Amino acid sequence: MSNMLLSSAARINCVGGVNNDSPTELTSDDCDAAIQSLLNANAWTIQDFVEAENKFGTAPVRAAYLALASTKIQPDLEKVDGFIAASQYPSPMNILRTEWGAVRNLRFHLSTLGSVIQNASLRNRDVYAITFAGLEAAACVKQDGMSAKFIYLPPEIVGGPLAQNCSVGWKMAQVCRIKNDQWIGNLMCTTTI
Amino acid sequence: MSYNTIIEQGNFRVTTAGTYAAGTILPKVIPCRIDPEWVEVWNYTQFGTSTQYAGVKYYWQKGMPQGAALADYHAAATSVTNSYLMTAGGIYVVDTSKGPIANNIIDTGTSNSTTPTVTTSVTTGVFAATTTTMGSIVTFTDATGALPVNLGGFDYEVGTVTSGVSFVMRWAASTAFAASNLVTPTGRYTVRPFDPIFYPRSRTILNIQGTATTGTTNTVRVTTSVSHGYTVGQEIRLHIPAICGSIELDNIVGTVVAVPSMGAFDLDVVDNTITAFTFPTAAQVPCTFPQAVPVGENTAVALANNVNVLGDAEENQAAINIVLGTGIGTTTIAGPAGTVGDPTTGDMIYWKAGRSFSNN
Repeated sequence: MSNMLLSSAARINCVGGVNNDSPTELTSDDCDAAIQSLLNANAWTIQDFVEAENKFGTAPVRAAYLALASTKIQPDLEKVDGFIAASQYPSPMNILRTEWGAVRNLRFHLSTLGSVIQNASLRNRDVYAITFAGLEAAACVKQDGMSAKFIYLPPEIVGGPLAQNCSVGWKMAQVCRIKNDQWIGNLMCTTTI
Repeated sequence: MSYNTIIEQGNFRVTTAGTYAAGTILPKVIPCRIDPEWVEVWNYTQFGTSTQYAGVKYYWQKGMPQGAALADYHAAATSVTNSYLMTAGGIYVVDTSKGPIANNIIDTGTSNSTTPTVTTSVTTGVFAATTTTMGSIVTFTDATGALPVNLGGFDYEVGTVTSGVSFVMRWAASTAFAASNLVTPTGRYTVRPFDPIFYPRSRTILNIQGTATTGTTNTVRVTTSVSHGYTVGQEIRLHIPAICGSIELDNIVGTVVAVPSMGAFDLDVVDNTITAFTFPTAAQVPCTFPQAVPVGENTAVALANNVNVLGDAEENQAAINIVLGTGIGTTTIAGPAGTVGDPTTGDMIYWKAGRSFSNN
């Protein structure tokens, strides 16, 4: 899915940073550009708001679009104006383990599987794609009878005359597809370190 | 991890249709999903001949460097074969879903042109385009800012290559990129092994021209930085930042009505009275570059033009490829891609590749 989105979805370069690169590191203004592109296309948010509670060090979290990114952007993400760490959510029990925090109407999920293009920025840095999406922007279509299959064949079948080996494999057929190109995009950024 | 033994084999002739263009042998790319652990190549045509420098047999196995090969060839113009350890230009196995294959220094700079010439003594992994095939895709980077900064940050396709000297970009931007003269070579180009792996791909736009170019009312011609791969009937949305002019086309969806070249397509739009398009200047970087984003298919147009109505279908085009190299120079040893190109009498190449039950 991430490869398909990197290939086909529109890109917005981060330009608000100060690392003298193109694209720059992630900033608050760049998050606004992503939110604007979804909001102006009437995209619905994916995650519900988290209501304020009378707890020290917490802040309410807005209804938000999803932002999927590499773990490498974490230091810059924490420096973005308005960033709220997941631990500061008033009711953090319903968040996913990947969720790192929120910036206004974007909630960031970090993974080592986040998209990266090596040596692609103006200053020879790696470029990270933060995929931001509204509700039902993309889908994964699975063919009947071809969802993931785990296949084990015992030594009596594939192990040869002395039944020395078995085999294990998997197969699947699916296709990912953008359903509305205006409800999804890639925010391209570099890092400061 | 062990697999059962798997073997693939095949053959091809060195012809203008694929591996021979303008008098130059091109690398031969063979998709080979088994991820081969060994590759053998025989040049059937040159076996037993007296063609000097022609190779007759090549062998590569995992553990050897990429591009290496153990070769038998004619060192002199006799049928006697000699052995040669190739360290480059031999056999490569490339997974196109993986990272860049080279990050090379630009020696002296780039020219003032809409299709800049890049001078570099290292053209390893940079392949020229032909009328039917794409050239290598590169991105430009520069740690010090000596290169024109609007040349960096997007994929750009190579047109022609002068081995060990320079290469020229294929598709023209609306305005010339400024020349650069790198006193200290700090500029780099990174060779991308392949496109983003899924088709159809969004592309950076280099130029947009109106009716004067297309010859048809209410159409615009869009030139992309890399061959787009779009077909007639596909619907494309244009993303045009305000700094580029042509703001009337921003967020507009049009149908591809003609594909005049691999790097350009004609899009129908309601009104082509547009402000002139300008590719972002160096002073405007960092910025978001203008893009063409594929969004679907106009079935009626596809049917009317008798083309595939599923032309926009999402497809993973990544592959594990065997790449047969072109050898070392013209007076050392020819590569497994062959020596003579001709539709009927070009070299006939046979190959066999496989992976083994066990590796020790």
